[in-house]
Amino acid sequence: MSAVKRFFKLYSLPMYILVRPFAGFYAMKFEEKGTIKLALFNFLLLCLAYGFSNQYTAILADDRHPYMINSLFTALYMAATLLLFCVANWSVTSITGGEGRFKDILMAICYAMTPLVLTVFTATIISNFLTADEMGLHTLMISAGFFYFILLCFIGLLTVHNYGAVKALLMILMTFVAILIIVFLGALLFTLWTQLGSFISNLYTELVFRF
Amino acid sequence: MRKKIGVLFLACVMFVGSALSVSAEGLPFQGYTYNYWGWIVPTPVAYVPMRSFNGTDIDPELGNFVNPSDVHVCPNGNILVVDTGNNRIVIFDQQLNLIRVIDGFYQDGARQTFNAPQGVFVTQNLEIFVADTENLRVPILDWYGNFLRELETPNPEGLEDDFRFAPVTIAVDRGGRIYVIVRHVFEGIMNFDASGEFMGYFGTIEVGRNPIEIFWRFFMTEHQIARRPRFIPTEFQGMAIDQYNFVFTTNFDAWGTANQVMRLNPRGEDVIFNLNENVTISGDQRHRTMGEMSGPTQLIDVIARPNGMFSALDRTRGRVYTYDSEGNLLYVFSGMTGSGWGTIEGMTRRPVALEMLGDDIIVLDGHQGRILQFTPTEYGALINEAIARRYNGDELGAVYIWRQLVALDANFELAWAGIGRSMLAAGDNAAARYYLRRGMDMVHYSIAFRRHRMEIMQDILPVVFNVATALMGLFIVYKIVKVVKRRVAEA
Repeated sequence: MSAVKRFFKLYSLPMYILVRPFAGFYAMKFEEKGTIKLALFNFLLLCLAYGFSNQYTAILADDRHPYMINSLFTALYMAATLLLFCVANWSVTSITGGEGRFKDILMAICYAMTPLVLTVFTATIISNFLTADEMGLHTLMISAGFFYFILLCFIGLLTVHNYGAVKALLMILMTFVAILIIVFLGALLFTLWTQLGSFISNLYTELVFRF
Repeated sequence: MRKKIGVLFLACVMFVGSALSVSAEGLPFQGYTYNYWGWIVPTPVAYVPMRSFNGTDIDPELGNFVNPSDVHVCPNGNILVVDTGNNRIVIFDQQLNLIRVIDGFYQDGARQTFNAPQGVFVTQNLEIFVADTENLRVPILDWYGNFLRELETPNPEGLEDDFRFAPVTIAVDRGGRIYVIVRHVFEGIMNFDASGEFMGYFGTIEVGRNPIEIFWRFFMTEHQIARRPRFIPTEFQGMAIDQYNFVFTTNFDAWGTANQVMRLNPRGEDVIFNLNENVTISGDQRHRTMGEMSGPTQLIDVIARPNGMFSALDRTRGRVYTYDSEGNLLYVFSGMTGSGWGTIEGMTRRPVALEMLGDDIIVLDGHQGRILQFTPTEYGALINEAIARRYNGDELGAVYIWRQLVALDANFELAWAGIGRSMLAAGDNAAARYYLRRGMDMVHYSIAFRRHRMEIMQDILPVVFNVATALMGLFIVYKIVKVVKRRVAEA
């Protein structure tokens, strides 16, 4: 019982952020209320929510072929996106006077995921009671959750870095530029490594054939 | 050995990226269809080759057809072949007895011959319309090959001076309206009234807009724009008139993704509404982009079949695609032999025309000068029957056929959906949901779901409300008892 109680006490911060985002994120960073464990747990919940959604969304809302759905891949994809965004944001803000550490950025994003977790879960359940005409409700719920998630992300980053709104907007734009650069460099590195690999394997083949 | 492997490889890749495991014994092609998601699904073969014949099989003296370009089945059941290379029209009956060869006619006492005719049409009263392409005219002959009259060569305003009236394909509806597809005319099908007078253009093909092209044209000078390629509609290819005087036409689509078959009403508007955007009326949904027989499907001919069905012939891979009135793909058969494969029964080398011969389908091979006749298998006949019954409103009779089809081919979505629809009509909503889900008929599944939901609610809600009312009553009684007890205790 005490473990459950402790969990709810811990999980009160994401819930508090849901209703009082500015104060909540302030408490998270400056009152040291946030923990990285809980943030990652929140991310895990989101992965579970999407897994649940993949598995149980009604056919009228999601008519993808079952072969095209892979919850593990969805989770990996989200983790990669999260990491990429955090790294890009960190690299931008650390040279523009942002106060947030990498840990703070990760926590802010993860704590902001709560509305998405809630709406994805509920929308999935609700989709099973809706006809095709009423499926707009399902879409609305998910997009409302997503919209609030984006808003919370923004507020979270703004609070964590102690930026003004305009500077925060600029920072987000710069983050996307940084993401592009990182992806480009990654692709370049990947290609070069592949070529190096094929070079070594060719070398090996030549040596084996010769001797 | 290497050659053998090459042939095997070709045979493998012929079936576009598919994993076909069902193979009909001894057939050079396999049956398949596309499911709801546009994936290839193997099916039994619907039509099998029955026989094939060329000119010498009809009459040794006739010789072979040279580069024939059209075949037509008359209302009286006889077959016409437009023997383009020999400048003649050959008429024979279904037992391959030669009836007549028309290689010219007398007009005003002067002998006239054909010059590379490409199309022919025979009306209900057996008038033969010939698209005498290189002579730039359409003579109309009677059944015995005597000249009756000819179509007025249209000279509409706005045409370029070098306009040539080179007719390629002809169709005449039951009201006598004449439709002519003319080579290099992009405005539409040329339409003539019964007296042969030019009425105007019929049907249009929309040109897709290319946003990149539009963007670049902002920066181009007029001179540059003038030198860009012109974006003009593709030409109409095949044409057929159905029993309601609607005109089926085909035209190519560069990407093979847009509908290539149109069913034009008398106002020239396309009336086929294909609900599934994953499977368009364009033959193969996936294709290779390199190698032999690659590229998008190019439907060159179409036939209107009874009960709203239509079949179209693919020039790229020689396949015949059959659709129902709603544009659902029913079955695919036949195929093409590559260069150096020799002749394979049931495969064409350069298919050019398609016709119905009773229940059978005939395909004219322009390269070999052969006509291939395909006859329905049990599976194909069942599909035709089921579609006929559904089209004529006999849903219950259709279900009997759909069930047999499902036994033959559990992948046939249309059959599952057919059973589901009848269940829905009969009011068995739970069963309808199951069958419509298997048939991926989402429109009707949603309706079945709504009704089923209502049924469940009607069952459950009274219980819920009764229990809630009872609980509330108990609670009130409990409160009253409590108050009374306290009063009693106080007193």
